[in-house]
Amino acid sequence: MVLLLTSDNEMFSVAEDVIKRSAYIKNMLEDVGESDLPIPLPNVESNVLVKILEYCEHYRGEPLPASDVDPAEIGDRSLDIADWDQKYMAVDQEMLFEIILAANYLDIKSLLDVGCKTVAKMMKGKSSEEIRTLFNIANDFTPEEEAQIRKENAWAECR
Amino acid sequence: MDSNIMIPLMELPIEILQDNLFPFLPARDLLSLTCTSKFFLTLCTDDAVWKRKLLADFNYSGAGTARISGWKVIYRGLHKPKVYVWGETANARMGVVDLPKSSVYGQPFPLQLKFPSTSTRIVSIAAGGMSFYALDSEGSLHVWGTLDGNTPALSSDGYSEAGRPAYTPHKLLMPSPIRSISCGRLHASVLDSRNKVWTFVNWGRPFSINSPTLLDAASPPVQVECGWGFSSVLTASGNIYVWWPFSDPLARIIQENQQSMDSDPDKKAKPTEANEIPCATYSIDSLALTKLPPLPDLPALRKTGVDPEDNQEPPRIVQIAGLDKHLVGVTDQGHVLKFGVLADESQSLNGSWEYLHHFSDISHIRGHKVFNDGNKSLAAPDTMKITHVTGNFQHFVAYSTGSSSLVLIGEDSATAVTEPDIKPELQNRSVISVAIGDWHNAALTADGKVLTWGAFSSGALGLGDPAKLPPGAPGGYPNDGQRRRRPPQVDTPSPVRFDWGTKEPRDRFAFAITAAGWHTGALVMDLNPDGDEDDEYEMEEPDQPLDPHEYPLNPDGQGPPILPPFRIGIHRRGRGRGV
Repeated sequence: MVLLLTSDNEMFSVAEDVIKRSAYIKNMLEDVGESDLPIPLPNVESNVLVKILEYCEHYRGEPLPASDVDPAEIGDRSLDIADWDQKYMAVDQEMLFEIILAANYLDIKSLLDVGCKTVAKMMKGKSSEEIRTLFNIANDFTPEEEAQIRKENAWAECR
Repeated sequence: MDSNIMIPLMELPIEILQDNLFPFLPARDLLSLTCTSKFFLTLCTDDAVWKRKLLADFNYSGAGTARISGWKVIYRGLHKPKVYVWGETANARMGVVDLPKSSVYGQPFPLQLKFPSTSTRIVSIAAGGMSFYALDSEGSLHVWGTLDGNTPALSSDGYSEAGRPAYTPHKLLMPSPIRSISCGRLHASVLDSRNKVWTFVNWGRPFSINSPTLLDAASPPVQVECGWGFSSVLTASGNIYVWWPFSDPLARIIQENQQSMDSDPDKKAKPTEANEIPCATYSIDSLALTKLPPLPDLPALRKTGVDPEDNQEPPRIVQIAGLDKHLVGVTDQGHVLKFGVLADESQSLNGSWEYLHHFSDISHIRGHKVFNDGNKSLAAPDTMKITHVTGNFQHFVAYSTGSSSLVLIGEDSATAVTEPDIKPELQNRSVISVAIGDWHNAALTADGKVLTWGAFSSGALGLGDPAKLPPGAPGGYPNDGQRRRRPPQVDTPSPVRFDWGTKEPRDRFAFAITAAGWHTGALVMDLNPDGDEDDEYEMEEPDQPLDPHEYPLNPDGQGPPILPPFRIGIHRRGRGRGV
């Protein structure tokens, strides 16, 4: 078992083969070896870690992805998300971004991808105004600036 | 939506947004996000984002050019790129059955080549000795011209014969998508999406080389490069492996495979009605590739714009260019070196690297006469780091990038004491690619201009029909009242126009060029909303018969006929027919 200590000082005891989906923890275990000391996760709160562990638990036993795969070069860029992942990601925006941040910090590539796909799907087909509303983005352009920028970016209908 | 969101989208680290989220956003959505705020405008317009999108969406890597910016413009234009070819028309090189009207032999201005499917997006083009290869956004290869116009082929032959012409673009049906192409004179090698290297000595039966050295995941192939008679691969760790399709042992292996496949009618690679060539592929497992020796000790280069502390590792080759019998490489630190002789395997074993100081070291460059002849308009550079090399036949070009870019031209005979040819017109103007034919040259700038210079070469400069150009104009007849058979050589790199087939003058943006033999090609975008329309030309009356073996006189239009543009007998000894 591996001990994890969250930023709000909660201790979690996790099976090694579950948490090894995190390349960050996996590398740390390989570097440090067996230890009774908890691994501090100062960037992850307990409610987020619970959610992350749910993901790792679900994919327990599935092969780990090869390391050093450049997302731009290989792999699908489709926005297809597996059914279970979709249900898993049915959370509020705050938790969605927390999951993305934690997946990035813990280096769980597949989870980071699912999180980003979820955000991409939320944006898909939306206008700039709709994206602003959806993500609470303040429009800091002057009307003239905005007209110019819209004009410059009004293309890419084919793909 | 909850307005008390603790982490808004813009609080995510920029790396996550650019590296993980944006690759999943289709271009249209990325542009919508661009327009939401100043923060996203900056983030979404970043060149790295669009460079990555080009590779992912269009199979476009910009390989072979030194482009460092403007990727978003390219992405936009790649929705409908146009292919232009010009120069020598023999061997079906122009890829069209009927040519536009012209007062001279050859195609003297860029001609838009149309593809059977309007959805074909060509993203890369390479010229072989008598042919063209083009790569589309799906990774398919298209070819036209003749791979080897010196060998006879019957019209009943398939593309298992190198002499079979492709009068219009033909699509090669290969087992996996192709990423990059490099052409020799009578062969080509390509790299596919799985890092497999394929070599063509005819279009119907490409073979892959199954060498463990090419399958090393820790040091995958990063560039495939052909010289006139050899192919080579550069790996990530800087090693170079060479093979010779026209000399033994590989020539014998190819011949044996050809013979055994000839008995199978399915392996003739006859074209379909849709002009597709079903390739009958095979792999060669038993070939030992020749590894070039390690680099000699190289001096640390000063004033490269890079902190010498960052160059702790020994220099390694990061790009190569294949010439007739030599190979030129540039290291990660800016050293330019030449290796030779690479005529065949046995000669290569006696070959060696030669470090070309005058192409690498700024102290030599600053002393070059072009910067010291009282020409105040051309200032010597303060820093220089050569990052790219290209070459063909007898010439190579080493160049640096950016607005103070330098273009250094050398010959295959260059030695440690040879000075480069430096053309003032090519300096400090962001040249990102130089293509070299036998006697003509073309340069591409980052802002989409193509400049050509050298011999007329059946119109390979593409400066226009000389009869329609004002006397004295580059590519036109001299301004002395005497009309000659050929326009004179052009010494000053001169701009090529791509609007000969439009009613109104159009400002068009080229993003790739290629040249070989006596022909040139370019990929061009029209950024106007109505720029998708095809060009139209005034066509030639049918049909004046052309003798493919009739070559024009000496490129300067005077003196006795020169040797034919393609030397034969090097790879096909004894088969020459005196062209």
